[in-house]
Amino acid sequence: MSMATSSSKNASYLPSQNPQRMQALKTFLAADEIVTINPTFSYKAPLDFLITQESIGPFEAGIDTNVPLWLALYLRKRNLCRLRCPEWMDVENLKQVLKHERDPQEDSFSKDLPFRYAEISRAILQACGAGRSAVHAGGSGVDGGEEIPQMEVVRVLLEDISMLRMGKIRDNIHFLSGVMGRSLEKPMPGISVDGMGSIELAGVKPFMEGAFADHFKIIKSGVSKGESGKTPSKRIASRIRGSRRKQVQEVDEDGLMEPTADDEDELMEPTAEEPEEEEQEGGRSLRRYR
Amino acid sequence: MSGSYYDIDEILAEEELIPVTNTLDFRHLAHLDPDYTHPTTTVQKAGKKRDLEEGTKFKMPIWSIQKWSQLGWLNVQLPKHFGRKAREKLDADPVSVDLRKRNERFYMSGISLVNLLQKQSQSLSRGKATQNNIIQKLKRESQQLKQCLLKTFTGARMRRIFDWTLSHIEDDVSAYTKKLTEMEQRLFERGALASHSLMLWKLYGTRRIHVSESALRSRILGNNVNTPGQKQSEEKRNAGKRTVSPEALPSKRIRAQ
Repeated sequence: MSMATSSSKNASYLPSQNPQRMQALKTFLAADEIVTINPTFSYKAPLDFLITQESIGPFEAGIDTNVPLWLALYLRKRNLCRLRCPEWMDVENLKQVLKHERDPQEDSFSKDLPFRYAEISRAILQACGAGRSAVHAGGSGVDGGEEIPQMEVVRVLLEDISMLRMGKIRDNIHFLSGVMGRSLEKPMPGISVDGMGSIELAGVKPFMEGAFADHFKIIKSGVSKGESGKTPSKRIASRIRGSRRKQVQEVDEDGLMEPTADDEDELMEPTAEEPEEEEQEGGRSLRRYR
Repeated sequence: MSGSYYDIDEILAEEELIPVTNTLDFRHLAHLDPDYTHPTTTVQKAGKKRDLEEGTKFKMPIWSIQKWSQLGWLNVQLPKHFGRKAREKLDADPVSVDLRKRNERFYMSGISLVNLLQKQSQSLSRGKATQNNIIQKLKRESQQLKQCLLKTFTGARMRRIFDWTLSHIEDDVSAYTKKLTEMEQRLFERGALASHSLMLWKLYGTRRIHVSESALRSRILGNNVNTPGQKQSEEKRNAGKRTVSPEALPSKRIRAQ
Protein backbone atom coordinates (compact mmCIF):
# COMPACT_ATOMS: atom_id res chain seq x y z
CA MET A 1 0.00 0.00 0.00
CA SER A 2 2.96 2.28 0.33
CA MET A 3 2.61 2.61 -3.40
CA ALA A 4 -0.83 4.12 -3.02
CA THR A 5 0.21 6.63 -0.42
CA SER A 6 3.34 7.76 -2.16
CA SER A 7 1.61 8.23 -5.47
CA SER A 8 -1.23 10.22 -4.01
CA LYS A 9 0.96 12.44 -1.88
CA ASN A 10 3.04 13.74 -4.72
CA ALA A 11 0.36 13.26 -7.31
CA SER A 12 0.78 16.52 -9.13
CA TYR A 13 4.48 16.93 -8.59
CA LEU A 14 5.78 13.51 -9.43
CA PRO A 15 7.00 13.59 -13.00
CA SER A 16 7.54 9.88 -13.38
CA GLN A 17 4.28 8.64 -12.03
CA ASN A 18 3.62 5.26 -13.46
CA PRO A 19 0.22 4.95 -15.12
CA GLN A 20 0.56 1.19 -15.19
CA ARG A 21 0.74 1.26 -11.43
CA MET A 22 -2.33 3.48 -11.26
CA GLN A 23 -4.33 1.01 -13.30
CA ALA A 24 -3.16 -1.92 -11.23
CA LEU A 25 -4.22 -0.03 -8.14
CA LYS A 26 -7.60 0.76 -9.60
CA THR A 27 -8.15 -2.83 -10.54
CA PHE A 28 -7.21 -3.85 -7.03
CA LEU A 29 -9.63 -1.37 -5.50
CA ALA A 30 -12.39 -2.46 -7.82
CA ALA A 31 -12.07 -5.93 -6.34
CA ASP A 32 -13.78 -4.56 -3.23
CA GLU A 33 -17.00 -3.83 -5.05
CA ILE A 34 -19.89 -6.07 -4.13
CA VAL A 35 -21.27 -8.47 -6.70
CA THR A 36 -23.90 -11.14 -6.50
CA ILE A 37 -23.03 -14.80 -6.86
CA ASN A 38 -24.92 -18.02 -6.79
CA PRO A 39 -22.80 -20.49 -4.83
CA THR A 40 -22.82 -24.19 -5.55
CA PHE A 41 -21.75 -25.08 -2.05
CA SER A 42 -23.10 -24.58 1.43
CA TYR A 43 -21.15 -23.05 4.24
CA LYS A 44 -23.29 -21.99 7.16
CA ALA A 45 -20.86 -20.02 9.29
CA PRO A 46 -20.23 -16.42 8.14
CA LEU A 47 -16.71 -15.76 7.04
CA ASP A 48 -15.47 -13.83 10.05
CA PHE A 49 -11.84 -13.80 9.14
CA LEU A 50 -12.49 -11.50 6.22
CA ILE A 51 -12.87 -8.14 7.88
CA THR A 52 -14.87 -6.28 5.29
CA GLN A 53 -17.52 -3.62 5.52
CA GLU A 54 -20.27 -5.98 4.55
CA SER A 55 -20.74 -9.32 6.18
CA ILE A 56 -20.06 -12.27 3.93
CA GLY A 57 -21.99 -15.47 3.98
CA PRO A 58 -23.52 -17.71 5.09
CA PHE A 59 -23.52 -19.57 1.79
CA GLU A 60 -26.25 -21.87 0.72
CA ALA A 61 -26.13 -23.74 -2.53
CA GLY A 62 -28.42 -22.17 -5.12
CA ILE A 63 -29.22 -19.04 -3.13
CA ASP A 64 -27.78 -15.73 -4.23
CA THR A 65 -25.42 -13.90 -1.89
CA ASN A 66 -23.42 -10.73 -2.08
CA VAL A 67 -19.65 -10.98 -1.88
CA PRO A 68 -16.77 -8.73 -2.86
CA LEU A 69 -15.59 -9.12 -6.39
CA TRP A 70 -12.27 -10.66 -5.46
CA LEU A 71 -13.93 -13.46 -3.53
CA ALA A 72 -16.43 -13.99 -6.33
CA LEU A 73 -13.63 -14.33 -8.84
CA TYR A 74 -11.80 -16.75 -6.61
CA LEU A 75 -14.86 -18.92 -6.07
CA ARG A 76 -15.66 -18.79 -9.75
CA LYS A 77 -12.19 -19.98 -10.56
CA ARG A 78 -12.62 -22.91 -8.22
CA ASN A 79 -15.96 -23.58 -9.85
CA LEU A 80 -17.74 -23.00 -6.56
CA CYS A 81 -20.23 -20.44 -7.79
CA ARG A 82 -21.91 -18.83 -10.75
CA LEU A 83 -21.57 -15.11 -11.19
CA ARG A 84 -24.77 -13.12 -11.44
CA CYS A 85 -24.73 -10.42 -14.02
CA PRO A 86 -24.89 -7.01 -12.27
CA GLU A 87 -27.97 -5.01 -13.16
CA TRP A 88 -26.03 -2.33 -14.97
CA MET A 89 -24.32 -4.95 -17.14
CA ASP A 90 -27.66 -5.92 -18.59
CA VAL A 91 -27.87 -5.54 -22.36
CA GLU A 92 -30.93 -3.29 -22.14
CA ASN A 93 -29.29 -1.00 -19.62
CA LEU A 94 -26.09 -0.83 -21.64
CA LYS A 95 -28.09 0.06 -24.71
CA GLN A 96 -29.69 2.88 -22.76
CA VAL A 97 -26.28 4.09 -21.68
CA LEU A 98 -25.01 3.90 -25.23
CA LYS A 99 -27.97 5.93 -26.40
CA HIS A 100 -27.26 8.52 -23.74
CA GLU A 101 -23.60 8.74 -24.72
CA ARG A 102 -24.42 8.96 -28.41
CA ASP A 103 -26.86 11.79 -27.89
CA PRO A 104 -25.13 14.87 -29.31
CA GLN A 105 -27.24 17.14 -27.09
CA GLU A 106 -26.09 15.36 -23.97
CA ASP A 107 -22.85 16.64 -22.48
CA SER A 108 -22.89 14.64 -19.29
CA PHE A 109 -21.70 11.12 -18.78
CA SER A 110 -24.34 8.53 -18.16
CA LYS A 111 -24.95 7.99 -14.47
CA ASP A 112 -26.22 4.46 -14.90
CA LEU A 113 -22.76 2.96 -14.72
CA PRO A 114 -20.82 2.62 -11.47
CA PHE A 115 -17.56 4.48 -10.99
CA ARG A 116 -15.44 1.39 -11.53
CA TYR A 117 -17.54 -0.10 -14.27
CA ALA A 118 -14.61 -0.83 -16.58
CA GLU A 119 -12.65 -2.79 -14.02
CA ILE A 120 -15.62 -4.78 -12.76
CA SER A 121 -17.01 -5.64 -16.15
CA ARG A 122 -13.58 -6.61 -17.39
CA ALA A 123 -13.00 -8.92 -14.44
CA ILE A 124 -16.43 -10.52 -14.72
CA LEU A 125 -16.28 -10.99 -18.45
CA GLN A 126 -12.82 -12.43 -18.24
CA ALA A 127 -13.87 -14.82 -15.50
CA CYS A 128 -16.75 -15.97 -17.65
CA GLY A 129 -14.46 -16.42 -20.60
CA ALA A 130 -15.57 -13.64 -22.89
CA GLY A 131 -13.50 -13.23 -26.00
CA ARG A 132 -12.26 -16.80 -25.82
CA SER A 133 -13.32 -19.51 -28.16
CA ALA A 134 -16.02 -21.90 -27.03
CA VAL A 135 -13.50 -24.63 -26.39
CA HIS A 136 -11.56 -22.49 -23.99
CA ALA A 137 -14.62 -21.10 -22.31
CA GLY A 138 -15.62 -24.56 -21.31
CA GLY A 139 -12.17 -25.21 -19.89
CA SER A 140 -13.22 -24.67 -16.32
CA GLY A 141 -16.27 -26.82 -16.68
CA VAL A 142 -18.81 -24.00 -16.71
CA ASP A 143 -19.79 -22.09 -19.79
CA GLY A 144 -19.90 -18.40 -19.09
CA GLY A 145 -22.67 -17.88 -21.57
CA GLU A 146 -25.33 -18.96 -19.17
CA GLU A 147 -24.14 -16.61 -16.47
CA ILE A 148 -23.98 -13.49 -18.59
CA PRO A 149 -26.69 -13.51 -21.22
CA GLN A 150 -25.46 -12.33 -24.62
CA MET A 151 -21.95 -12.01 -23.37
CA GLU A 152 -20.41 -10.95 -26.66
CA VAL A 153 -23.05 -8.27 -27.10
CA VAL A 154 -22.30 -6.95 -23.64
CA ARG A 155 -18.60 -6.87 -24.38
CA VAL A 156 -19.05 -4.98 -27.63
CA LEU A 157 -21.49 -2.56 -26.04
CA LEU A 158 -19.06 -1.81 -23.24
CA GLU A 159 -16.30 -1.23 -25.74
CA ASP A 160 -18.48 1.18 -27.71
CA ILE A 161 -19.43 3.02 -24.57
CA SER A 162 -15.86 3.47 -23.51
CA MET A 163 -14.93 4.70 -26.97
CA LEU A 164 -17.74 7.23 -26.96
CA ARG A 165 -16.84 8.37 -23.49
CA MET A 166 -13.23 8.85 -24.46
CA GLY A 167 -14.44 11.03 -27.31
CA LYS A 168 -16.51 13.02 -24.86
CA ILE A 169 -13.55 13.48 -22.57
CA ARG A 170 -11.59 14.67 -25.56
CA ASP A 171 -14.28 17.21 -26.41
CA ASN A 172 -14.26 18.42 -22.84
CA ILE A 173 -10.53 18.86 -22.81
CA HIS A 174 -10.66 20.68 -26.11
CA PHE A 175 -13.26 23.00 -24.65
CA LEU A 176 -11.07 23.60 -21.61
CA SER A 177 -8.04 24.28 -23.72
CA GLY A 178 -10.06 26.76 -25.72
CA VAL A 179 -11.01 28.80 -22.67
CA MET A 180 -7.87 28.37 -20.61
CA GLY A 181 -5.88 31.01 -22.42
CA ARG A 182 -8.67 33.23 -23.60
CA SER A 183 -8.65 35.84 -20.92
CA LEU A 184 -7.17 36.37 -17.52
CA GLU A 185 -10.01 38.57 -16.34
CA LYS A 186 -13.02 36.37 -16.75
CA PRO A 187 -13.46 33.26 -14.61
CA MET A 188 -12.85 30.06 -16.43
CA PRO A 189 -15.94 27.89 -16.93
CA GLY A 190 -15.70 24.36 -15.61
CA ILE A 191 -16.67 21.04 -17.10
CA SER A 192 -18.78 18.39 -15.50
CA VAL A 193 -17.03 15.12 -14.81
CA ASP A 194 -19.91 13.41 -13.01
CA GLY A 195 -20.19 9.79 -13.91
CA MET A 196 -16.76 9.50 -15.43
CA GLY A 197 -15.20 6.10 -14.88
CA SER A 198 -12.09 5.62 -12.81
CA ILE A 199 -10.11 3.98 -15.59
CA GLU A 200 -11.07 6.78 -17.95
CA LEU A 201 -9.78 9.26 -15.43
CA ALA A 202 -6.52 7.37 -15.17
CA GLY A 203 -6.13 7.56 -18.91
CA VAL A 204 -6.19 11.34 -19.09
CA LYS A 205 -5.02 12.23 -15.63
CA PRO A 206 -1.27 12.46 -16.29
CA PHE A 207 -1.81 14.72 -19.25
CA MET A 208 -4.28 16.95 -17.47
CA GLU A 209 -2.12 17.21 -14.40
CA GLY A 210 0.89 18.15 -16.43
CA ALA A 211 -1.08 20.63 -18.49
CA PHE A 212 -2.53 22.35 -15.45
CA ALA A 213 0.80 22.41 -13.67
CA ASP A 214 2.45 24.09 -16.65
CA HIS A 215 -0.53 26.37 -17.12
CA PHE A 216 -0.23 27.41 -13.53
CA LYS A 217 3.49 28.00 -13.95
CA ILE A 218 2.75 30.49 -16.70
CA ILE A 219 -0.05 32.12 -14.73
CA LYS A 220 2.22 32.43 -11.75
CA SER A 221 4.92 34.20 -13.71
CA GLY A 222 5.30 37.86 -13.01
CA VAL A 223 3.04 37.67 -9.99
CA SER A 224 5.78 36.95 -7.48
CA LYS A 225 6.46 39.80 -5.11
CA GLY A 226 10.06 40.27 -4.20
CA GLU A 227 10.73 37.49 -1.72
CA SER A 228 8.46 34.97 -3.36
CA GLY A 229 11.05 34.52 -6.05
CA LYS A 230 12.80 32.26 -3.59
CA THR A 231 9.64 30.47 -2.50
CA PRO A 232 10.23 26.74 -2.59
CA SER A 233 7.73 24.85 -4.67
CA LYS A 234 6.40 23.12 -1.59
CA ARG A 235 5.16 26.35 -0.08
CA ILE A 236 3.51 27.31 -3.30
CA ALA A 237 1.82 23.95 -3.38
CA SER A 238 0.42 24.34 0.10
CA ARG A 239 -0.80 27.78 -0.77
CA ILE A 240 -2.54 26.44 -3.80
CA ARG A 241 -4.40 23.86 -1.78
CA GLY A 242 -4.92 25.79 1.41
CA SER A 243 -5.73 29.45 1.25
CA ARG A 244 -6.86 29.69 -2.29
CA ARG A 245 -9.01 32.68 -1.60
CA LYS A 246 -6.18 34.59 -0.04
CA GLN A 247 -4.04 33.99 -3.03
CA VAL A 248 -6.65 35.23 -5.41
CA GLN A 249 -6.82 38.46 -3.47
CA GLU A 250 -3.08 38.71 -3.66
CA VAL A 251 -3.28 38.36 -7.37
CA ASP A 252 -6.02 40.94 -7.53
CA GLU A 253 -3.82 43.49 -5.89
CA ASP A 254 -1.36 43.18 -8.67
CA GLY A 255 -4.15 43.85 -11.06
CA LEU A 256 -2.77 41.23 -13.36
CA MET A 257 -5.41 38.60 -13.38
CA GLU A 258 -8.39 37.55 -11.49
CA PRO A 259 -9.87 34.29 -10.50
CA THR A 260 -8.25 32.09 -13.08
CA ALA A 261 -6.27 30.32 -10.43
CA ASP A 262 -9.40 29.72 -8.42
CA ASP A 263 -11.17 28.13 -11.29
CA GLU A 264 -8.22 26.01 -12.06
CA ASP A 265 -8.52 24.52 -8.63
CA GLU A 266 -12.13 23.74 -9.28
CA LEU A 267 -11.23 22.04 -12.49
CA MET A 268 -8.42 20.13 -10.92
CA GLU A 269 -10.87 18.60 -8.52
CA PRO A 270 -11.69 15.44 -10.39
CA THR A 271 -8.07 14.60 -10.89
CA ALA A 272 -6.76 15.89 -7.64
CA GLU A 273 -9.37 14.27 -5.48
CA GLU A 274 -9.01 10.88 -6.97
CA PRO A 275 -5.85 9.66 -5.27
CA GLU A 276 -6.92 10.80 -1.84
CA GLU A 277 -9.99 8.73 -2.02
CA GLU A 278 -7.93 5.81 -3.13
CA GLU A 279 -5.60 6.22 -0.27
CA GLN A 280 -8.47 5.82 2.13
CA GLU A 281 -9.80 2.84 0.34
CA GLY A 282 -6.37 1.39 0.15
CA GLY A 283 -6.07 1.74 3.88
CA ARG A 284 -9.32 -0.06 4.30
CA SER A 285 -8.32 -3.00 2.20
CA LEU A 286 -5.04 -3.17 4.03
CA ARG A 287 -6.83 -3.43 7.32
CA ARG A 288 -8.91 -6.20 5.95
CA TYR A 289 -6.02 -8.52 5.39
CA ARG A 290 -4.10 -7.84 8.50
CA MET B 1 12.36 31.62 -10.82
CA SER B 2 9.53 29.91 -9.05
CA GLY B 3 10.82 26.38 -8.88
CA SER B 4 13.73 24.82 -7.12
CA TYR B 5 17.18 26.37 -7.17
CA TYR B 6 18.46 23.23 -8.82
CA ASP B 7 15.73 23.01 -11.46
CA ILE B 8 17.83 22.10 -14.47
CA ASP B 9 15.17 23.25 -16.92
CA GLU B 10 15.06 26.64 -15.38
CA ILE B 11 18.83 26.91 -15.44
CA LEU B 12 18.87 26.02 -19.12
CA ALA B 13 15.93 28.28 -19.89
CA GLU B 14 17.69 31.24 -18.35
CA GLU B 15 20.49 30.84 -20.85
CA GLU B 16 18.28 32.74 -23.27
CA LEU B 17 20.18 35.74 -24.63
CA ILE B 18 18.46 39.07 -24.15
CA PRO B 19 19.40 42.19 -26.09
CA VAL B 20 20.16 44.93 -23.59
CA THR B 21 21.39 48.51 -23.65
CA ASN B 22 23.47 49.82 -20.82
CA THR B 23 22.37 53.12 -19.33
CA LEU B 24 25.77 54.01 -17.95
CA ASP B 25 29.39 53.45 -18.84
CA PHE B 26 30.57 49.98 -17.88
CA ARG B 27 34.17 50.28 -16.83
CA HIS B 28 36.41 47.35 -17.76
CA LEU B 29 33.50 45.34 -19.07
CA ALA B 30 33.99 45.64 -22.81
CA HIS B 31 34.43 41.87 -23.01
CA LEU B 32 30.70 41.47 -22.40
CA ASP B 33 30.15 42.47 -25.98
CA PRO B 34 32.42 40.48 -28.26
CA ASP B 35 31.70 42.71 -31.25
CA TYR B 36 32.36 45.87 -29.40
CA THR B 37 34.81 48.33 -30.90
CA HIS B 38 35.37 51.51 -29.04
CA PRO B 39 34.43 54.48 -31.21
CA THR B 40 37.66 56.23 -30.38
CA THR B 41 39.91 53.22 -30.22
CA THR B 42 42.69 54.72 -32.24
CA VAL B 43 42.96 57.77 -30.10
CA GLN B 44 42.39 56.23 -26.69
CA LYS B 45 44.95 54.61 -24.52
CA ALA B 46 44.98 50.85 -24.26
CA GLY B 47 43.28 50.89 -20.84
CA LYS B 48 40.24 52.76 -22.12
CA LYS B 49 39.44 49.99 -24.60
CA ARG B 50 38.07 47.88 -21.85
CA ASP B 51 35.22 50.25 -21.16
CA LEU B 52 31.73 49.70 -22.50
CA GLU B 53 30.20 52.99 -23.43
CA GLU B 54 26.72 54.05 -22.46
CA GLY B 55 24.05 53.04 -24.94
CA THR B 56 25.82 50.01 -26.37
CA LYS B 57 23.62 47.19 -27.51
CA PHE B 58 24.77 43.72 -26.55
CA LYS B 59 23.31 40.40 -25.50
CA MET B 60 23.28 38.87 -22.07
CA PRO B 61 21.68 35.69 -20.69
CA ILE B 62 18.69 36.17 -18.40
CA TRP B 63 20.36 34.84 -15.28
CA SER B 64 23.16 37.35 -15.45
CA ILE B 65 21.16 40.53 -15.72
CA GLN B 66 18.55 40.11 -13.02
CA LYS B 67 20.23 42.44 -10.56
CA TRP B 68 21.49 44.89 -13.14
CA SER B 69 18.09 45.34 -14.70
CA GLN B 70 16.51 45.90 -11.29
CA LEU B 71 19.09 48.55 -10.52
CA GLY B 72 18.23 50.22 -13.78
CA TRP B 73 21.69 49.87 -15.26
CA LEU B 74 20.31 48.11 -18.29
CA ASN B 75 17.38 48.64 -20.58
CA VAL B 76 15.97 45.27 -21.49
CA GLN B 77 14.52 44.52 -24.90
CA LEU B 78 12.71 41.37 -25.86
CA PRO B 79 14.50 38.83 -28.06
CA LYS B 80 13.19 38.56 -31.58
CA HIS B 81 11.10 35.45 -31.02
CA PHE B 82 9.38 37.03 -28.03
CA GLY B 83 8.87 40.35 -29.79
CA ARG B 84 5.66 41.82 -31.06
CA LYS B 85 5.88 40.38 -34.56
CA ALA B 86 6.57 36.90 -33.32
CA ARG B 87 3.71 37.19 -30.87
CA GLU B 88 1.36 38.23 -33.62
CA LYS B 89 2.44 35.23 -35.64
CA LEU B 90 1.80 32.97 -32.67
CA ASP B 91 -1.62 34.48 -32.23
CA ALA B 92 -2.48 33.94 -35.85
CA ASP B 93 -1.35 30.36 -36.16
CA PRO B 94 0.15 28.77 -33.07
CA VAL B 95 0.18 25.27 -34.50
CA SER B 96 2.51 25.65 -37.42
CA VAL B 97 5.19 27.62 -35.60
CA ASP B 98 8.28 25.60 -34.84
CA LEU B 99 8.94 26.85 -31.34
CA ARG B 100 11.75 24.42 -30.73
CA LYS B 101 13.80 25.98 -33.47
CA ARG B 102 13.76 29.28 -31.66
CA ASN B 103 14.29 28.05 -28.18
CA GLU B 104 14.05 24.55 -26.80
CA ARG B 105 12.49 25.87 -23.63
CA PHE B 106 10.38 28.61 -25.11
CA TYR B 107 7.83 28.75 -22.32
CA MET B 108 10.31 28.50 -19.49
CA SER B 109 12.39 31.28 -20.97
CA GLY B 110 9.23 33.27 -21.50
CA ILE B 111 8.26 32.83 -17.87
CA SER B 112 11.71 33.95 -16.74
CA LEU B 113 11.44 36.93 -19.03
CA VAL B 114 8.04 37.91 -17.68
CA ASN B 115 9.42 37.65 -14.17
CA LEU B 116 12.41 39.72 -15.14
CA LEU B 117 10.34 42.51 -16.64
CA GLN B 118 7.89 42.49 -13.77
CA LYS B 119 10.63 42.66 -11.17
CA GLN B 120 12.38 45.39 -13.04
CA SER B 121 9.27 47.52 -13.23
CA GLN B 122 8.61 46.94 -9.54
CA SER B 123 12.06 47.88 -8.37
CA LEU B 124 12.21 50.85 -10.70
CA SER B 125 8.93 52.21 -9.43
CA ARG B 126 10.27 51.80 -5.90
CA GLY B 127 13.41 53.70 -6.81
CA LYS B 128 11.48 56.61 -8.42
CA ALA B 129 14.55 57.43 -10.40
CA THR B 130 12.99 56.82 -13.80
CA GLN B 131 10.02 58.14 -15.65
CA ASN B 132 6.65 56.61 -15.26
CA ASN B 133 6.18 55.75 -18.90
CA ILE B 134 9.14 53.35 -18.91
CA ILE B 135 7.67 51.46 -16.00
CA GLN B 136 4.28 51.38 -17.66
CA LYS B 137 5.84 50.08 -20.82
CA LEU B 138 7.66 47.34 -18.95
CA LYS B 139 4.48 46.28 -17.20
CA ARG B 140 2.54 46.25 -20.41
CA GLU B 141 5.19 44.25 -22.23
CA SER B 142 5.37 41.62 -19.51
CA GLN B 143 1.62 41.30 -19.40
CA GLN B 144 1.31 40.95 -23.13
CA LEU B 145 4.08 38.39 -23.22
CA LYS B 146 2.44 36.41 -20.47
CA GLN B 147 -0.92 36.50 -22.18
CA CYS B 148 0.71 35.34 -25.38
CA LEU B 149 2.51 32.46 -23.66
CA LEU B 150 -0.68 31.39 -21.98
CA LYS B 151 -2.67 31.48 -25.17
CA THR B 152 -0.07 29.63 -27.17
CA PHE B 153 0.45 26.94 -24.58
CA THR B 154 -3.17 26.22 -23.77
CA GLY B 155 -4.66 26.75 -27.17
CA ALA B 156 -4.59 24.73 -30.34
CA ARG B 157 -1.14 23.34 -29.64
CA MET B 158 -2.26 21.64 -26.48
CA ARG B 159 -5.37 20.32 -28.15
CA ARG B 160 -3.27 18.80 -30.87
CA ILE B 161 -0.83 17.27 -28.41
CA PHE B 162 -3.70 15.72 -26.51
CA ASP B 163 -5.12 14.21 -29.67
CA TRP B 164 -1.75 12.72 -30.46
CA THR B 165 -1.55 11.12 -27.05
CA LEU B 166 -4.87 9.43 -27.73
CA SER B 167 -4.39 8.33 -31.29
CA HIS B 168 -0.76 7.83 -32.20
CA ILE B 169 0.06 5.34 -29.53
CA GLU B 170 2.27 3.05 -31.51
CA ASP B 171 3.22 5.24 -34.42
CA ASP B 172 6.50 7.00 -34.78
CA VAL B 173 5.68 10.45 -33.51
CA SER B 174 9.13 11.98 -33.60
CA ALA B 175 8.19 13.86 -36.75
CA TYR B 176 5.41 15.63 -34.87
CA THR B 177 7.12 16.09 -31.58
CA LYS B 178 10.30 17.58 -32.89
CA LYS B 179 8.51 20.89 -33.31
CA LEU B 180 7.41 20.97 -29.70
CA THR B 181 9.20 22.67 -26.89
CA GLU B 182 10.61 20.71 -24.00
CA MET B 183 7.57 21.42 -21.84
CA GLU B 184 5.16 20.21 -24.47
CA GLN B 185 7.21 17.15 -25.26
CA ARG B 186 7.18 16.12 -21.64
CA LEU B 187 3.45 16.64 -21.52
CA PHE B 188 3.04 14.52 -24.61
CA GLU B 189 5.15 11.73 -23.17
CA ARG B 190 3.14 11.64 -19.99
CA GLY B 191 -0.14 11.54 -21.87
CA ALA B 192 1.05 8.97 -24.37
CA LEU B 193 2.37 6.70 -21.63
CA ALA B 194 -0.97 6.86 -19.85
CA SER B 195 -3.10 6.10 -22.87
CA HIS B 196 -0.68 3.40 -23.96
CA SER B 197 -0.94 1.64 -20.65
CA LEU B 198 -4.70 2.10 -20.75
CA MET B 199 -4.74 0.29 -24.06
CA LEU B 200 -2.54 -2.46 -22.66
CA TRP B 201 -4.82 -2.77 -19.68
CA LYS B 202 -7.83 -3.19 -21.91
CA LEU B 203 -6.03 -5.93 -23.80
CA TYR B 204 -4.28 -7.82 -21.06
CA GLY B 205 -5.53 -6.54 -17.74
CA THR B 206 -3.16 -5.96 -14.91
CA ARG B 207 0.18 -7.44 -15.65
CA ARG B 208 3.39 -7.56 -13.81
CA ILE B 209 4.22 -4.22 -12.28
CA HIS B 210 7.76 -3.20 -12.88
CA VAL B 211 9.96 -2.00 -10.11
CA SER B 212 9.75 1.74 -10.00
CA GLU B 213 12.68 3.58 -11.46
CA SER B 214 13.31 5.60 -8.36
CA ALA B 215 13.39 2.45 -6.23
CA LEU B 216 15.91 0.91 -8.57
CA ARG B 217 18.00 4.03 -8.55
CA SER B 218 18.03 4.27 -4.79
CA ARG B 219 18.97 0.63 -4.58
CA ILE B 220 21.85 1.14 -6.97
CA LEU B 221 22.97 4.14 -4.98
CA GLY B 222 22.58 2.34 -1.68
CA ASN B 223 24.32 -0.84 -2.73
CA ASN B 224 27.38 0.80 -4.10
CA VAL B 225 29.57 -1.47 -2.03
CA ASN B 226 28.25 -4.65 -3.58
CA THR B 227 29.67 -6.05 -6.75
CA PRO B 228 27.46 -5.86 -9.80
CA GLY B 229 27.13 -9.63 -9.88
CA GLN B 230 25.64 -9.71 -6.43
CA LYS B 231 23.18 -7.02 -7.33
CA GLN B 232 21.99 -8.86 -10.38
CA SER B 233 21.41 -12.12 -8.60
CA GLU B 234 19.54 -10.28 -5.89
CA GLU B 235 17.30 -8.63 -8.40
CA LYS B 236 16.65 -11.94 -10.07
CA ARG B 237 15.62 -13.48 -6.79
CA ASN B 238 13.27 -10.64 -6.02
CA ALA B 239 11.84 -10.36 -9.48
CA GLY B 240 9.37 -13.17 -8.94
CA LYS B 241 7.92 -11.57 -5.85
CA ARG B 242 6.72 -8.47 -7.58
CA THR B 243 3.84 -9.98 -9.43
CA VAL B 244 0.43 -8.57 -8.63
CA SER B 245 -2.58 -9.72 -10.53
CA PRO B 246 -6.19 -9.66 -9.49
CA GLU B 247 -6.61 -13.32 -10.24
CA ALA B 248 -3.68 -14.40 -8.17
CA LEU B 249 -4.45 -12.22 -5.19
CA PRO B 250 -7.53 -13.87 -3.67
CA SER B 251 -5.90 -17.21 -3.20
CA LYS B 252 -2.96 -15.57 -1.52
CA ARG B 253 -5.28 -13.64 0.72
CA ILE B 254 -7.04 -16.71 1.89
CA ARG B 255 -3.94 -18.73 2.41
CA ALA B 256 -2.50 -15.93 4.45
CA GLN B 257 -5.21 -16.46 7.00
